[in-house]
Amino acid sequence: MNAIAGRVVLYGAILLFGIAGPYVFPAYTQQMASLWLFIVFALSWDVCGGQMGYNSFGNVFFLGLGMYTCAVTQVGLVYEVSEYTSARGGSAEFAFTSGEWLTGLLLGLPLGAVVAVLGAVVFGMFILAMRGHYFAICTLGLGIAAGELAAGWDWIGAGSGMTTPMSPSALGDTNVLLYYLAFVLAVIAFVFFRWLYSTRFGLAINAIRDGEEKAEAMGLRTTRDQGHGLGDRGRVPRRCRGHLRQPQDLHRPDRRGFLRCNVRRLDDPHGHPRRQGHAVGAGDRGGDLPGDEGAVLDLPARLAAGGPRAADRADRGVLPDRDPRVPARALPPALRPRRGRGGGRGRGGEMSAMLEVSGVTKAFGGVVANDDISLQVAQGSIVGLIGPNGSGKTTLFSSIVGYHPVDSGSIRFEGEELSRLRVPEVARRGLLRTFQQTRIYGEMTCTENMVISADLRKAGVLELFRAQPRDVEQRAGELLEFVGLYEKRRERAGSLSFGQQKLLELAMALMNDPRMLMLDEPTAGINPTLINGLIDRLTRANTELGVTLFVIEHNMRVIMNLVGHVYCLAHGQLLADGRPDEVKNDPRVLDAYLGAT
Amino acid sequence: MSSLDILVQAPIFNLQLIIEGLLIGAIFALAAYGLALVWGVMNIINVSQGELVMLGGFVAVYFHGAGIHPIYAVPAAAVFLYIVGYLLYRLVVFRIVGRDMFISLLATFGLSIILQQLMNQAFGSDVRTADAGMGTQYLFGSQITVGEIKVVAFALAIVVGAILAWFLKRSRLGQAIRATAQDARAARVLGIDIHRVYAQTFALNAALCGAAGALVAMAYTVHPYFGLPYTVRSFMIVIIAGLGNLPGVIIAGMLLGIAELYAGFILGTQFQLAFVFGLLVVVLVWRSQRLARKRQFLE
Amino acid sequence: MTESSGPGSTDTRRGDVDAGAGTLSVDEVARQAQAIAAEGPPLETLDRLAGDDPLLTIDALQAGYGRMQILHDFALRVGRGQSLCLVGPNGAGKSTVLHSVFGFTRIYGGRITVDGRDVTGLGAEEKLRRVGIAYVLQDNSVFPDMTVEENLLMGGYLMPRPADARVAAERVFDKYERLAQRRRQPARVLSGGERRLLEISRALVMEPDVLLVDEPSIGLEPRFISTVFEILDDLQRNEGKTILMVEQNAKKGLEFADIGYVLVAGQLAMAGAGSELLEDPEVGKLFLGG
Repeated sequence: MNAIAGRVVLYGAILLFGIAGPYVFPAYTQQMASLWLFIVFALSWDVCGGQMGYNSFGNVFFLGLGMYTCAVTQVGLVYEVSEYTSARGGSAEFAFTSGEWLTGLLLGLPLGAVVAVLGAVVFGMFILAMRGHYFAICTLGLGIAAGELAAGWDWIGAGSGMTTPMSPSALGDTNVLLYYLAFVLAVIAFVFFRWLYSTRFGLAINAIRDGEEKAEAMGLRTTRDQGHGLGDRGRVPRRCRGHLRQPQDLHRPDRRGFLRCNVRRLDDPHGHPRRQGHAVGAGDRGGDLPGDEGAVLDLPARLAAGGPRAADRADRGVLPDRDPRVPARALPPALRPRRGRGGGRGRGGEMSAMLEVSGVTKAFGGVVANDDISLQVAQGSIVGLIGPNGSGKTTLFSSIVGYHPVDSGSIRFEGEELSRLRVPEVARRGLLRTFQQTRIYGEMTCTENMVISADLRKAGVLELFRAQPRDVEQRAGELLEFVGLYEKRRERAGSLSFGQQKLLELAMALMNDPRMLMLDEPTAGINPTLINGLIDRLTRANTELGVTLFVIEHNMRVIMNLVGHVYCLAHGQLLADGRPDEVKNDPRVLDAYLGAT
Repeated sequence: MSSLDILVQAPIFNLQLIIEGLLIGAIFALAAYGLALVWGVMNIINVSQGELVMLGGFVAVYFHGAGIHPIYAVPAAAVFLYIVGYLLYRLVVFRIVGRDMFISLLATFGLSIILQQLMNQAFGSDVRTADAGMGTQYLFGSQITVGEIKVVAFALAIVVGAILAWFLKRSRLGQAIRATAQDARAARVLGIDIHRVYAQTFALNAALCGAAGALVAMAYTVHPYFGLPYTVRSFMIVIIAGLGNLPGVIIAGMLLGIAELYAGFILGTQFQLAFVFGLLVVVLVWRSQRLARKRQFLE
Repeated sequence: MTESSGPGSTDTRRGDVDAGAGTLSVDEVARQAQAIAAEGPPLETLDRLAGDDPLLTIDALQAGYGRMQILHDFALRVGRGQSLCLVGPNGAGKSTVLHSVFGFTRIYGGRITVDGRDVTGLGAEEKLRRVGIAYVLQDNSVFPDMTVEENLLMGGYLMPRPADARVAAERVFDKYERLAQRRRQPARVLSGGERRLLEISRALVMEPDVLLVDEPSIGLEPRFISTVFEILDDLQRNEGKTILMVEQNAKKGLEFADIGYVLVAGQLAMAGAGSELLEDPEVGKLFLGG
């Protein structure tokens, strides 16, 4: 209640200041108008840079499109533009009456917004394929190139720019009028973005920033969402641009103009704890390198992420062998197995395989990572995949979920051919994978991580812009409870210990009601004493939620106790398969692990 | 259109543009070489590259104002900028090594603005030059004019670049720099202090920029706000040539110089910078599309 | 693979669960893991294997990367001029032991000594310069665009004078004719075996007493593997180097080494003479999870 009251007081004070400003500080009307505009710039930069991770140095480009469009409209309705600009707008014969001026403004504002959005769409097609610093530098170039063009183009006033003074002014002080336009725009922008971030779309663009690959693996269509983001960015700044044509400096092509749009997050009253740039949260990144080699290289990042002692402590707190509050057989309804498509779990040999890999071969530049692999995973089972380092296990996983094309062979999931589908399409069919290194959205809270992972299969464009449905949040809470993270639901996911992040990742995957989960070394890097809790959750996900599991695991002891059937790869080929104890005693498997002489 | 007509009807004029382009392109290449060095070794794109060039230029301007022949400013600017670069590393840049590249972009961008404003305070916002007092050569019956200082600057740019290349190849520190760039992990295992290598790399890059800037001041002009185009040119050259490709950098630098002069001549000099930045966008789009084609996708 | 082998197993497993064994099997895992740790060889055994005069000792080491602790209470002894090979299943923390000795991990507890001197907190540079430990990275760590000679000179980067490094490089060239023939060629043109030779000899330039060798056979064609082990054997027998090695190919590694340690999940499970372990069926079981 106090928080809400505080917020009401804060917003009320801001509104009051906004409305009364010009009368209290009449000498600073223009500066205050600029303040509101800067807020709009910051908000609009934030949607692309802060929220989506596309850090732009070039918002001035859209700004310029908006302001020149508006000014040219205003002038063009009354005079020949070239004559007007060659007179440098100075002489009395080119004055505007109030009516002309207002008409021009009313027409110019929406037109400016439209042109800016068009510019964003056109350039977005070319530059959104770039990531990270290339995007930043490209937008820097775009902004300055546009500024230099404007500075050289006589038709729009070249270096002197355009200004459209109204004279004689019948509307009183135009500064005050423009001030209120800017203020109203700031309010609109603020409300608009608050609403935007409350929708699925808002979370989706966050997810893109945190990890595009992960977002895709979860079934988000990233390119579509990015397009929206740039479009939004296109919208607000140029619209506002039209308003303040009066102060001449804002109209002149300004080589440093983008700086203004860069004032990041002037205000962020939402209290979202996460809107730091992606780069700041180094915790869960840098894990791209395999195994120990990677460890040396990203040591600094991992050290920065905090030591393991605190982590271990936290792990113990959250990973009791069995969560006493969730009795195994008395799950809430939302957690009960959903047996839609399959019609219940089959038994033994009567049913066909859920996942069927036949004759899959995949080579990377001459090195055959998978050679004619065939295997099956039955619905409702837990199947293991083992093999020495470099035997091609992860490659096989990646082939199945669509990270790369296979050279030959077929991968069928519930009878449907997967080998030509891309990652999001596979994910939407209920086949999900997790990674050796956790891929959570470190800057979002646990609940947000869960919500963004929710099934997007049926969500259309419109639904993206609706608020989160209640039942999604409820289910998020239930699943967090299921893995024992309920108490941590409001904490930043990046602040969790490694073991907890693994559990969160499991819960996120379960959010999608997957038909089948493929887990890549779920216990890697977890303290042996904490593995039990994870194994327990996996077993229960299988028995109680009816999720089929396909598990790569290095900890043989675990896999022997977890799975019912195991396949062993060696040198990219299927070496053996059978029940764990059979495979364990297979001399060929032993040889593969010990290294042939 | 009329400027195009000139090029067609007086072909000798093309030669004028090409020569001028080659001469200035060598200086572009010098700054690009430094950018590539820092990029390759530290994985940082130094956006303040152009400001370092301008700072070197103002050293030459200062020498000229003090009555010293600006040619002496070339080594002096290199030494001065070496110190500046070393301090910048120890104050700022070491914090961003190994971080996300966008952090390094923001940080060096901030550096560039600080340098810009400091130069503006110290030297004023006039376009300056350090007149070396050299004449002009007239070739082909006066149809082509070449400022002697531009030729001297070109030659000095080649010399400075060669010295750095030799240093990287032969000296112990240079070898450590190359080793770190090729395999930082292996370098650490051999006991190389990577942060010392980084500091030296950044300082050397600044020295290189200083020398290039002194040449710019003598042959062309400097201004506190003219730095960014040099950064962008360097970046483009490295993108086109590829990291660690010295001959490629020289060729790309000279091609860029020629392209710029043609653009300035055909479009009008007021659009020359618009061309540079527009070309940057085009080059980046070209690069991303080429990469996209390379990537394997099912469809 | 037969039709029944895959799906048929489901029944067996579910039978376990229905019998209430779902959580019991988990406890079983924990029990067995603890049993391994408890059954781990006592320090006396390690001392005995090292001939009761260890050059390099590790005691109660807790180490890892960032928040990932990998080694739990690890101990090790190796005597002067001995070779010790760490084997174990993937992810057991073998390389982490080497990284910890060289100063590349975060060490949360424990002690590492060389010749009685505590070196736990020292960085890589001091290890090389003062303690006499050198590290051979796994998999391709030559500087590809530098010549073979330059690569060797980098090995002597810490020497006070460049001339010393050149002398040391000449010594290497005298010893290994194959490298001498290619001294002016860039290292990227070397064959896999030659690269590994260059990596090892580059580490020798500083004349270390202890060589840490990470996965010498990884990524090598079979015909080069024995060559590499011959080189290491020569260094141990004829130059008195102490070698601490991690090897994926357990048979090769145990054949080579005087002492073998088997790691499981960051803990020492077995220790014995290399040849002894080679014959021990228990080792195989450990690799496959008991």
